[in-house]
Amino acid sequence: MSFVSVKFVFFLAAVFAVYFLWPKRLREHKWIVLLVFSLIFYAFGGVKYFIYIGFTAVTSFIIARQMSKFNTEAENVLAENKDWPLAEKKEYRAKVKSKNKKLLLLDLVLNIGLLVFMKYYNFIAENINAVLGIVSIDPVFGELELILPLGISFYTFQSTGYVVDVYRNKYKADTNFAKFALFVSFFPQIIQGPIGRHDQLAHQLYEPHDFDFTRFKHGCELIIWGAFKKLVIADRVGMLVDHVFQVNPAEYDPAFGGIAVIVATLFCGIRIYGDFSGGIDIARGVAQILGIDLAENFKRPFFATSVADFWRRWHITLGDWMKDYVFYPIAISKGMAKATKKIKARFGNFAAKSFAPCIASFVSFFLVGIWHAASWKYVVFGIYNGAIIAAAIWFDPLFKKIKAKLNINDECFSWKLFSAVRTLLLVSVARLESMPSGLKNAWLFFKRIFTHWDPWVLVNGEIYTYGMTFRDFGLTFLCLIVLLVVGILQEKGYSIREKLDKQQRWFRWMIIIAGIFAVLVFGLYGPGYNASDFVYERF
Amino acid sequence: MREQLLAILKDIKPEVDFETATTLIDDNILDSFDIVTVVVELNDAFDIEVSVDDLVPENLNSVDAMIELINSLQNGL
Repeated sequence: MSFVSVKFVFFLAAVFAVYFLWPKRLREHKWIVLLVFSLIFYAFGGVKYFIYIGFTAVTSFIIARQMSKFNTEAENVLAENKDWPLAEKKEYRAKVKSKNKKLLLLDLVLNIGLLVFMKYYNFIAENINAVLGIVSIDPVFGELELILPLGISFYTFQSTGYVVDVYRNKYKADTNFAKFALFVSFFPQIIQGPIGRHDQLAHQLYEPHDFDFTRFKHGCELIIWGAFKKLVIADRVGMLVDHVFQVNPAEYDPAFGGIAVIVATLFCGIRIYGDFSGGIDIARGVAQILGIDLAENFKRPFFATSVADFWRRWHITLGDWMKDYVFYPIAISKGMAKATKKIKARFGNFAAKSFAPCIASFVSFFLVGIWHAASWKYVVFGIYNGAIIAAAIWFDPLFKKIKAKLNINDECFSWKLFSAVRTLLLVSVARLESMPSGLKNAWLFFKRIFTHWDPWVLVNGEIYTYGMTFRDFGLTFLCLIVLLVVGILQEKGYSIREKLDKQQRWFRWMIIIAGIFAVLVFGLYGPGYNASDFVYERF
Repeated sequence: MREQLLAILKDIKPEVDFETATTLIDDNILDSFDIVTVVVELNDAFDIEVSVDDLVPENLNSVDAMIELINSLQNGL
């Protein structure tokens, strides 16, 4: 069930009605409403997928419970034996940790293993067969018809984060399986996140929330804003992106010159941002009405002044997940410490300092890349981002020297603008690489920027034949100005919705009605009044 | 210990006033790359083993918080 469908509107009306009209004497059990509706929502995606999400929920729950039991036992034993020598305490802790490590490993094999199998089996098999083919060996692995269960990448990461946190004794494990099942399957976030953390999200899901008009108002405003970004902006520019990138550049000579590729690449960034952040806004808006605050996933990424800064603002919950569960464990591991010492002795202080973060960042970005889908283009996407960030660290001293020589003030507007444009270009190259079907086509499109230079298409009207009309371009331009103004205000710390609350009633309603009007009139609706799918649903 | 810690931090980010800063993580003054460098240096200088579990803002937001973390790790708490 798409977030931007009539079906979803009725579904939401039912959720809100049941949740807020729930009998007061059963108030403590309000979470059951959320669980039941989350299961209904998931069933719309296919009942057969319940087995996968059920497997992850059951295994994560049992394993975390056992870990928590070991941790509690250890705390009690240590409390009873305060007089134990330090070495004995350490040895005891290590024993408990070792037992929990085995359980953690079991969880990773079961759940990350299932994700890897469902998502990457065919890709890995195809590549192994291809390598064997080179040395004239027949294919060993057959292709399997695997259909990715709805939201598997999101709920697997959310559950794995929970198990690792319990392993680290950050908090105790959940004791109620049905409640935990709600944490794994909460419907606004199951399709495309944001990836929640148990200590921030679970208690909000389990606590009963009463109807609050301010939250309702703010939630509805966020939903309208998300629908505006998705239906009016993303789906509109998406027409040009699909039109240009879905052709085979090798077969379409001389169609689509460099300008079409550049415009499609820039629009592709706008599309993915509008689509993904729009979907997240709808999810956060729905949750907000229910009294639940989901994590922020975007902080105006196109204002980023470096690629590292971009990734701190884009898909924040995935970046934070990678930082806590991949980056830090690798960067501060014992093996890395040993390697750093060797590098220090051989190459000096600077190389030693940057070695661990660079390697860990590289691995994290490689995983971010293939997290999107099993494809070589996403492998390159991850490596490209990792390499840019590593290069920024390695060349930082040189950049600082150049800036000092040229007397550049880091804090002035012109430098920030230059940095933002530079970041946009670097990020756009990654988009151009990942959008067309396959790396070879991406390269052919990239070459066209330099070999088929045709700026006249911007003035002779040809650009309006690439999937978007003159009217679409005009409307997109106006919407982008709205997006930019809102972005600047948010960047300066203004809360648009709180500001709106303080305005005269007529003005507030005018803005809200204009928003609804824009979504209904200018939104793009396909056959059956259903918009196109959200891009991140596929991941 | 305080002087040694301040020297390490100054070496990593000379532009930051570590004496007064209390939101080093919350305000992103130290990013994840800096944190890794800080951890590697602390492990080396104070003969401790900072683990991933210790990498929470409460332990790294200020010099005082870091001293507390070092003390607790040295005492095996």
